[in-house]
Amino acid sequence: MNNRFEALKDVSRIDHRIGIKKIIKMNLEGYAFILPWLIGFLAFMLYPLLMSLYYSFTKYSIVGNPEWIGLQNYLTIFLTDEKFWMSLKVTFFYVVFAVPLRLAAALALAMLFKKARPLTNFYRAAYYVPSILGGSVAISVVWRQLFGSKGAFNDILLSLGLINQRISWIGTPDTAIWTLILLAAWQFGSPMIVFLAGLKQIPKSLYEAAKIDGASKWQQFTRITIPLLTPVIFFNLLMQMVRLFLMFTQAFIITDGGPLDRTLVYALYLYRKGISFGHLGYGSALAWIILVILTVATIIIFKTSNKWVYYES
Amino acid sequence: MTKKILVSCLVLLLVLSCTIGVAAEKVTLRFSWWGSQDRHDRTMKVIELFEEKYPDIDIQPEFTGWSGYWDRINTQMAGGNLPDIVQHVRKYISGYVKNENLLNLTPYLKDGTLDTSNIPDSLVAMGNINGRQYGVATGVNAPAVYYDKGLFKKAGISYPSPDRTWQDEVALIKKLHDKLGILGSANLTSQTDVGGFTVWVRQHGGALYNEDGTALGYDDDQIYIDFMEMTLDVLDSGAVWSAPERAENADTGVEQDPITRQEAAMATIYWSNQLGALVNSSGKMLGITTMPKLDNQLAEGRFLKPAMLLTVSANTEHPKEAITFLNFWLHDIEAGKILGTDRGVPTESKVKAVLKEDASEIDQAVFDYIDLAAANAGEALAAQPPAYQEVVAAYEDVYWKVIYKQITPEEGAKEFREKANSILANQ
Repeated sequence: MNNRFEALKDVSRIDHRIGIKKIIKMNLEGYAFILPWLIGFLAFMLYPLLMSLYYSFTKYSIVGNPEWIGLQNYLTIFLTDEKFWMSLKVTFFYVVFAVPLRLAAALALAMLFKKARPLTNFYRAAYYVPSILGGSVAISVVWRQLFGSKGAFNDILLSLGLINQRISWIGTPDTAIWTLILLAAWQFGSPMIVFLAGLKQIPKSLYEAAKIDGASKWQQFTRITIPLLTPVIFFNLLMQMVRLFLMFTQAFIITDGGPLDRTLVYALYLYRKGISFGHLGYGSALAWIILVILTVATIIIFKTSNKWVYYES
Repeated sequence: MTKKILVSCLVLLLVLSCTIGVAAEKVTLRFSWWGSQDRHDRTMKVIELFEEKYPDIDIQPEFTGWSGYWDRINTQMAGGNLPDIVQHVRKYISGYVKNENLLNLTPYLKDGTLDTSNIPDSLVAMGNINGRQYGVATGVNAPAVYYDKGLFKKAGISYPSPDRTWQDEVALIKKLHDKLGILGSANLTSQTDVGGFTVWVRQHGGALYNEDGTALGYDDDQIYIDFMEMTLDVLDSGAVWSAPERAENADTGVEQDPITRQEAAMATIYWSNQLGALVNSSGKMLGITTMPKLDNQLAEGRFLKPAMLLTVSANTEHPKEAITFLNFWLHDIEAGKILGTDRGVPTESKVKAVLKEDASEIDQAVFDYIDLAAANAGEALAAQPPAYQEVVAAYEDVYWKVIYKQITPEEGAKEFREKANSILANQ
């Protein structure tokens, strides 16, 4: 030790080392706490994800070992697979109509339940029920009955005189997808709850001011409610889009992709190729394609959001 | 520490050598099957019975439901440790034969080790893939046509006979529809399973697949065209479901067939083992007969199908003992009684006779029908090629297009041939 400064340096070095040890120790504790989740994530999320990416470049059926074929799966899908394009078309059609309808229904009901009336809570719960049941097999079976040629939907139309003979709504190529869209619109529960929360956030004073200025109900809705609700609309739009893009159960049970593949949504096609026919490699490629499409769609919605989403700040 | 490891290793060795010593006296066979709880119970009883009779063979059961079964078997196959005896289905077997995972039983059949006495040759042949014996059928099913006797009487029409032709069938369905005002039948043949078309092609002297399963087994597209024109003819008469009605009912089960509600006089797309389900949901006994013949047919196209097969894996160390088990399974009367018709109608005539004595009314009818079907059956179907499911899906796709009038039968014939051949060539 030559002078004080070196001694100081030594002290600080020792300090520093203790610090690092401490940090490692503290972090270790943290990691120990999240270890169960971490193991789960690595084993059940990350590993399968990476494996499916690898499989998508292989020819792999459930029997035997994967065999590397490079981009062959992707080329086949894009160049010669008619059903892939058909299922994309069907899925986009479904999403483009089902998402706005679902959001509109959710917003309408949320507006209705905004005011506290007697039994409001009961109604809120009651209208949420379809969404809990909606993905279930039971509702899909009910839907099949409703819109079949012997179904109640035909009875209603007949008694109103709108049609003069029974139509099989799920058996007719042009109408089948609409029964699925209607089902999606009917399951508005979760966006409705989010809208309700959003509506409560809007300051009452704004409405009071508008009333004094003589704004009608409609003007209040379009000039105050909608603009201030845009962040919530944005959130709901994103969530519902992703959800409906991957719709499977309803199409599987109600129409099984028919008639003439007019309801062959993407997830159903993926299931058939990958699971039913056992082309795991091809199916993995299909899964990665839909992932990319969803990512792009999300980015587009995000990019446009600063044009129409209004944040008070 | 090292000492500890050393000691435990030694102990382990000792234990292992003991077990090896025991195992040498007793042969262990692993036997795997899929099925319901009822089937598991029956099978376990049969295994107990077998172990009583053959105390030096120990059967180790491995069983699951259908859904996880093939995943497990495929995994075991990949790992080279298939069970010694595997319950199999004909539709999946060709892939395993191709991979040489199953033991060729032909030599055992030839020298009589595998005992097939009292089993008709046509039923023995069901375990035959590409000219070699790979398994034995546990029992048989056959496609069947069901009819409502009461409705036939009401319409004043005589019951359908196994000698009727396709033209008779079409006329019959239309006549029932005219007389009763209900459907003659829900459909003429099924679109989801190529059964009807397969029979039709065989009657024309072809087969659905060629011998090595690499292309379609008939050359003349007129065969397909005639079949679809006949289908459209019935469809347009209104005697069967229209295309949309058919689409909406495509996945409904046997219990919902219109025949169970007296809304149709016949049901044409089911199997012999589904009589029970149909009778239970209709609440009355139904008549049962074969599919139609073809006028001036070149070959008998109707067929029997093995319900499932028992196969021996190629990597078994005890083929002799495995075959002992198969013989017991096929011929032992007590075992047959326990198993009943759960795995199809037994192939062994003595076992069948015993079962028939105390069978229920429904089982009696099924037994009688299997005899009738066997008398009217042609060659056993070749095993389906590995990609057969996709061929069926292609058939179904084109079928819908034709009955929805999107394409003509001529275009359909071409499209089906192209799709099927490309699938079969690239499997």
